[in-house]
Amino acid sequence: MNSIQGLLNGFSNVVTPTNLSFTFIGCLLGTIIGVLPGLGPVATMALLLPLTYKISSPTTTVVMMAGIYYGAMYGGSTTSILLNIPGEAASVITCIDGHEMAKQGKAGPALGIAAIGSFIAGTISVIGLTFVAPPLAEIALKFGPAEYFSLATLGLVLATYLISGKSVIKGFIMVIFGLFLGTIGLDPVSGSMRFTLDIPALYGGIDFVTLAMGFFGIAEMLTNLEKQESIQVIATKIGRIYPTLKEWADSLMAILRGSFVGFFLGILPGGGGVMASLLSYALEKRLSRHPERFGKGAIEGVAAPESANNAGATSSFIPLLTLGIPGNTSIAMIFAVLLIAGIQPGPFLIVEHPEVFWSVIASMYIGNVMLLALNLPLIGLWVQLLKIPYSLLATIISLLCLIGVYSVQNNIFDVIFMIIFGVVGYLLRKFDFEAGPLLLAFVLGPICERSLVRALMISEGKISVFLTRPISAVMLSITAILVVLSVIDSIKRSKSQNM
Amino acid sequence: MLPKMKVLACSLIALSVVIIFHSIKVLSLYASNAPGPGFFPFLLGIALLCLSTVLLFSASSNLDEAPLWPHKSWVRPLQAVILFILFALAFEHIGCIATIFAFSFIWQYLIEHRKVLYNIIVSFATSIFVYVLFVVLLKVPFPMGIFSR
Repeated sequence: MNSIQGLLNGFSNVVTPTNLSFTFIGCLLGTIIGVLPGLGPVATMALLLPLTYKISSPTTTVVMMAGIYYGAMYGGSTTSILLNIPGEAASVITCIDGHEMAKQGKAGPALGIAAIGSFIAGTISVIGLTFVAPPLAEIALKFGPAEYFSLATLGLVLATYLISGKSVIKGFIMVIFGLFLGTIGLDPVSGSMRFTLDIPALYGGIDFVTLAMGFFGIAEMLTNLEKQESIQVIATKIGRIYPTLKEWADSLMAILRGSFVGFFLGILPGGGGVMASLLSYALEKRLSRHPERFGKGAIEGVAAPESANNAGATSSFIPLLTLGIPGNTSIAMIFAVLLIAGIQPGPFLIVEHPEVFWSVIASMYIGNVMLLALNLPLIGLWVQLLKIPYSLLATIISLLCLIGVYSVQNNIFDVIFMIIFGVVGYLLRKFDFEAGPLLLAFVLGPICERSLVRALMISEGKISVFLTRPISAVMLSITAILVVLSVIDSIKRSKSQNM
Repeated sequence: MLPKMKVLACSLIALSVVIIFHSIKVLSLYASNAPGPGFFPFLLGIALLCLSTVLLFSASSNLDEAPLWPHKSWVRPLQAVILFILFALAFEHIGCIATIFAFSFIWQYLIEHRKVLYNIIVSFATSIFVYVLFVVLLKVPFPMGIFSR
């Protein structure tokens, strides 16, 4: 099946009342949580995970989750521009020029170019995804267990290296912690119980939903509870939304460059929207004939990062759909959704479940159009959402976590474990440990262990198998270099702090 | 007093030693010429030991660290955690509707300091929302407790 034929089949699957409704729900929820500060796409997906058990079609679930992810990228710009508060991490850089434009009475064009740029970039990226993913999946089919182990390890290390903020060492510790949590329960190879402490509820292992809701839903909410301040909506006049010809001329190349930067960075583990928006902003500033305008309300400073973060969000599906490696935490959630539905993401996805593969891609084309329609005319409505008090949201989030995790297996132990994970996650955040790498590692842990054991069994216990196969050797070498660089950097930083 | 990060690093070192010991003694590293159930956890234990040691030595020795919870900011998170635990203990005995109502009411009153009438309205609305979403739409068989027939 070629790409065009596959895509047409995907469209025929998505254009059903159910799938269109769930794509719309995903885009709508994504926009809402993108607008609301203090609730990110990962936490929202974690809150909705229990509901995915009730949806019979995996395609329906995945198109909704994907909609939440890229929808949040659209919505995130609203608070950045109007309030100088990023709705989610990828919109941090939009605050600089976006809010300046709002202060100058140009909030409308800023919001307009953010939505239009996001639409163009999202569409360019999904076209790239349509044609890049199938050949990459074909290459990945040739991978053996040694390559898979090395790829999963490199993916984890690279993602941690890029997403860990203050300390990469802490990120690596979270990776190990996540991998360790993944080993708890019945060992699928030997049938032995591992680290269960004779607690029957742990015999089946730790449930992903419990872990994700604890580390993201509960921990994020506890962190937000520390802050007493409430958000004040600034009475900014939005005015005209559609940019003028001059603003279009200033933004067009920035949108196109942002789209390509975002697309390529999104493919990398850890890339996604955050890195893409930061890099594209820096690139625009460097290429600009008037770099002094940046930071003072340059429309390119809004167009480029907003385009890049949407392109990155879309292209970050490529490693998931082709290699089975989630490159960031949001994609790890979608990975888990596929696993819950009994589908193993990776190169076999396009062969064994082409309807899921192509439907997800087709839903992105439709989702981008939906988001443009949702974001441009309804911008005033999203601003009103900011008036909802966080106290009310916190009550609903807490209840959705508690009830949601109970509803998965009707087991109160799951609720207790979630509270424990929530408290641990909250305490770790106090020490600047980020939960993203832990969740990625928890998802990739079984792949890592299975590939490691298989590779060693095939090679009769020879560890050299990882170094004699060229692709594996290259990937492990890059991994080793990254780890060593991080350790050296960490030691250097501590020396300078202690001086 | 030791810097907090060093205490955490020492705890992680202790955890890694437990993982390594358990992997070798209780599980086995190799079984019939193939990696045993303890092999992968053993590698993780070693990695955690190395990283925690780096963390221990790279952690700041500055004794005048900023407090983790300035201005009693721990109060509301602690109240929330206690409320979560009470929710878990009560849910199967009292039933979902009464527990959700009580949780919502106490949360608004204790943590957010809202007025009683506001609390009653919000708690009532929240209970209906959760009941309709999970019990009516998703058909989740929740314990009804005091509302069971």
